[in-house]
Amino acid sequence: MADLEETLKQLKSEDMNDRFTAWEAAGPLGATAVKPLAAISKQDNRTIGKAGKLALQNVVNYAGRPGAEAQAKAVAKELMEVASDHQNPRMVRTDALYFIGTIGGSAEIPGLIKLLEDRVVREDARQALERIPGDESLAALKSAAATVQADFRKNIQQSLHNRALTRESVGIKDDSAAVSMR
Amino acid sequence: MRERRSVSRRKFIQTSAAAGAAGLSFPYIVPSHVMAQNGRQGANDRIVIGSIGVGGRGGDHVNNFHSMGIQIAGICDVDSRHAAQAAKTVGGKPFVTKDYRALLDRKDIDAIVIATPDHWHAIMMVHACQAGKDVYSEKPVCRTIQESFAMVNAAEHYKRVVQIGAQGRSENAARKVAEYVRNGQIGKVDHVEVWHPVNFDGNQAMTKDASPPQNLDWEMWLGPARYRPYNQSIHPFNFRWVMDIGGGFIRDRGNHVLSCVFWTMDADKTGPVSVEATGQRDKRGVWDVPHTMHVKWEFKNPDYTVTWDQPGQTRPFPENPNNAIDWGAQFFGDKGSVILEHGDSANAERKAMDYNPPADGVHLYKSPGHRENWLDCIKTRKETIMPVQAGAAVIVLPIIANISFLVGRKLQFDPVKREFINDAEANRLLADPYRTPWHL
Repeated sequence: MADLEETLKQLKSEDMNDRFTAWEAAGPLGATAVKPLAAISKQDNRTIGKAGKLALQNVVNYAGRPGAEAQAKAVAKELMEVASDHQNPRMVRTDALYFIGTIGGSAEIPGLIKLLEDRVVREDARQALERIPGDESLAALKSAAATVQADFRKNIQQSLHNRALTRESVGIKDDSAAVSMR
Repeated sequence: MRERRSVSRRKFIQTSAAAGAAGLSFPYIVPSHVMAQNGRQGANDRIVIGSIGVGGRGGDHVNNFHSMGIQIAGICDVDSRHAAQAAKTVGGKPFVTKDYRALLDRKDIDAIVIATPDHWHAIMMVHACQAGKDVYSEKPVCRTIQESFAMVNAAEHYKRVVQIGAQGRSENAARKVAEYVRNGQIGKVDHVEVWHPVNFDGNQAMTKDASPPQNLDWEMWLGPARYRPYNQSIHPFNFRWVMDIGGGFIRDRGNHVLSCVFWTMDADKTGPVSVEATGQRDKRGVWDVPHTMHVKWEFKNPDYTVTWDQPGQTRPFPENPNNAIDWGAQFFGDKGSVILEHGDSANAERKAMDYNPPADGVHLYKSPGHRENWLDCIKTRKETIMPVQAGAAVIVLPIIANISFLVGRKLQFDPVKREFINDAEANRLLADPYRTPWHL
């Protein structure tokens, strides 16, 4: 298994082959790699930033495999902290919220609800909640529909509309004013 | 390599002659009783179209439809340079907008051509159907399985004629190969190899995120896609190499050759039961699709596999051994094999091109041309050569391939439910929450 310190060093290398090798092998690094990789992904050098992001994506996807629920929980917890840290650039938080949507669960819902009030990333948090399946995330959206900032309630209504879609109903017009696109 | 399908004068005349032979009137005239049946006034019984996304491929459509004598009454593009160029091409005073909803509101427009970046295809097609317009929607069909459900539902519920812009099935060579195989000339097919050049690489300096240029409404360009800052490495054209927008060649040009594979295998009502994708991402630039890729899909009942390789093994037709084909499909059966080339146009081995099915064999519809077929079907209300239902079946392949690549593992797939089996993370990627206010 790759060594975290060595991986971080390679991801910041000027040699693209080193960076490539590092991100390819990053998957098994686990939760302890999330914050350091997020830190690399925000570097001004966008080539290195990309390497950090792809390494983080591989960590997330590796933890998301069937049978690795404990790893997914641990990684999602770290991602939630990255997303909640206002010191992080917008795109680092946006990417973290996207990843939470793919592997997050019950433990992330309170944090996502809180971020629905954060004007910078509230839309990303909403999309993550919409993607997380199950009754808890749906209940969170329903509760938020009445409590979020007034200018964001239409966004929540959209998530509720989307969560109600079925294979048979999607694409058939909904005349509800709550989800009007005008 | 950009696809160029501008119509030369010679091809225009040939097409006109073919259209005349097929009983099609030129410019395309729809009988008034047909137009009335569909609730449209059609004062002069001509098909009037609106074109959404008029740069690149969309610009090709504007040029071609205009050359065919089709009135383009509306133009929509979020890049004002593209819109201005298209308006100049069609002449007169077309309605020009950067908001496709305004185009769909127009009663003088019967049908819509959609040639935007991929993340807009589904929602625009669905809304066009809801607005009572027939649709020509460019490949790739869509980005997610949920989008494909929406597109099929919309076309069927609103009874719209839809052509997906995967024009392989309008190529004579593709039809000949499909008839050759479906009439048993290579026996039972065991596997199909598809190969294609690699995705573009980041052979350029990493460009920085920046403010969008004055001519571009970046917020509208993004639309339903998740937020990202403007970067000139993405627009125009190179959005294709961003995974959640373009999905790489497999989801882009893969539509062409994979639609021919499905046609040949008579697989439009089936799907794969597993997928395994590996590859290597570009080491440079902002793009994140796999630069090289190997995918294997397994099918059951009948049992066969389809593989996709970037770059794969180029190969020539046996009768032309010095000309290796860099993009195509080879079908392997227990009695032989046959190659279909799919590049700027399709070609096939001589044995397939010369083959004529017996009277009681499988005969496939010969399309007069992909745009022509769509316009004809608007008149007759018949199914197009590449309807959205077939498009939805074909797009499953690249969508699940990209998901397999992303999650880094082989996935089992239920082709009826169009869901992964026992993989919750992969299933979360079958739909993509849109940014407000956009929704299906």
